[in-house]
Amino acid sequence: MRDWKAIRARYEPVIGLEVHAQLKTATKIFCACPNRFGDEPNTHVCPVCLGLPGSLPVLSRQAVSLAMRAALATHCTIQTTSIFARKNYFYPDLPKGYQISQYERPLATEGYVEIPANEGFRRIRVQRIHIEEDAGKLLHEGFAWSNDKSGIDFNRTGVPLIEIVTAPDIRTSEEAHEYLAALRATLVYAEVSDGNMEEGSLRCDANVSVRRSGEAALGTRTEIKNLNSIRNVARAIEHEISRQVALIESGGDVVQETRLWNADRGETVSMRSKEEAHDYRYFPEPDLPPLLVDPEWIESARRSLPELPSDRRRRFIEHYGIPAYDAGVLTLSREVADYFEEAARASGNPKAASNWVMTDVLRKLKEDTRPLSACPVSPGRLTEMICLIDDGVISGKIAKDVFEKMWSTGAPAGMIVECEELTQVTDASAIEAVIAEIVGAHADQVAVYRNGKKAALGWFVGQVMRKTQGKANPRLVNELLRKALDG
Amino acid sequence: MFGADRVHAHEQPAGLFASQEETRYSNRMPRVTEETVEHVARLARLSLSEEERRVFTRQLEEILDYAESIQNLDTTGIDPMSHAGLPGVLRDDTPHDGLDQESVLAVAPDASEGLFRVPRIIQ
Repeated sequence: MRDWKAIRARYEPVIGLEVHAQLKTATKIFCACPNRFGDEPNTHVCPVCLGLPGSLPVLSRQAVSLAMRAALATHCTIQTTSIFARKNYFYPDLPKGYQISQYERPLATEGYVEIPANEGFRRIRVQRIHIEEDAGKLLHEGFAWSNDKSGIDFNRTGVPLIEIVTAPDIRTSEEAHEYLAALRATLVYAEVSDGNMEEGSLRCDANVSVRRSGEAALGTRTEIKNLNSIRNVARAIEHEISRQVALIESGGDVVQETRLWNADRGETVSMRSKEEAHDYRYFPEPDLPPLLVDPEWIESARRSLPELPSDRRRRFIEHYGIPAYDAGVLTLSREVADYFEEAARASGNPKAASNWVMTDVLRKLKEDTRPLSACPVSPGRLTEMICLIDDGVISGKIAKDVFEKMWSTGAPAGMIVECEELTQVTDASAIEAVIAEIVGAHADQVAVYRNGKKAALGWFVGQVMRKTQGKANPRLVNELLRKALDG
Repeated sequence: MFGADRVHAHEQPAGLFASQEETRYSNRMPRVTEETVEHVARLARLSLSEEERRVFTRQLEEILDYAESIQNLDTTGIDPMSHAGLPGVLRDDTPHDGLDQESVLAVAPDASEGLFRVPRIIQ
């Protein structure tokens, strides 16, 4: 193939994402069945969520409150009147034959989510957020009868969802990744949703098209489904962009269709569904009156919001003087941000706290696949260690070992330093003695240094550090060495 | 009601009803054709005989004609109304037990291992 990168660069991808998030309510959206994941199948069902004749839906106040929090957290305008609509289609996971959703008049419109962009932030516009009910869960594998039958668990039917739809503002798979990470962090901070893509409490569909750079008209888009992790969303989009560009370059046309992402094969495949699958014949849900929210309710939802990741990130940059990238990583999870902030405040050294959390705490948690709640080094313990460095008791190098020991034993830094005799040597005469010994034994290196190769100093520093098992204060070693060598 | 002029572009319901534009300018054109009826019947998983299709086409057209008389009313300054009655009652977020699994599955045409069963729906 000709230079693929150059060909690809002539096209601009246009991406929009539709995210479904399950709301963290105690009950389902239209009935009092528990909203719980992982229980025995078909044990949280009733006439309403099974769609039995004669049953009527009653909307949950808490579902609306959580949806409003999500809307406010994404800077949307909440519509004081919104209307539920029936989306009609036949599928076995949908017992009523329609999904109760919102169509023409959604709960919220026109907001945005900020993503990091070189130096600053970029806004991805949110077109709308509407409330709807989840469908049941189909089980196609794992039973003796799976080759000719599918099983259905209706526990998930009627679980409250919000759908968050972006404008076609996203241009790369990396931006899609950033948007999802930011949106997930926002929903989790706001305690709207668990945001767990693997378990399906957060789901994403991607609309992807490409056009020649500079062209204003949009290309034909495809919709990709079955994206169960943020990483897979980015991979699937990347693959789909390449597929569409290759198709157009070879003289073909992109067909508007739904495609399924196959993570094992790393490709999207056409979902050959009936042409009429998208004819949903929406109409206003006659069983539910319009949803009216008054300004007081909106205000109380606004007051219930905690500080959100984008605000916290900005505050971390301004108040603690840490780099934007670090602030972004530290604020992706509320727990990590709390951890950092406690250590930053208590130690009075936010930069050190940020470095230790970013490079050591998060790395060790990842290695151990532990959540932060099970972290053996508390923010208080980390603070003690940072203070030992700042007070010159231990060197930064020794601190790495101390941290490892704190992690494996749970002991405080001070105790480890004492037991292992790791205290930094700051006694000038002790260091001078070591220097004298080394200088005496290496006349050749001394000559090199004195002949103008000042870089040889580093060799001497290494020798002194080795001799003192890394405990000598490096600043002092440098100073005393210069004195000894320069005479 | 969802006026035809207010339906958003991206999932526009394919036409049981002609758009307002068409209604205005070609009043005598039939709005419901046999193809429309066949399309709607297929979406509803109904199979119609030729005779039924003809009858329903005519009846649906008559219903629209009847509804047309309402269109002649002057509705200037009146808010569209989608629902009768008062704004809704909302429910507290307190869970209650639903039905037990045994009685739920008793109404299923086919069930096994706690699940409803249907003919396999993916390849």
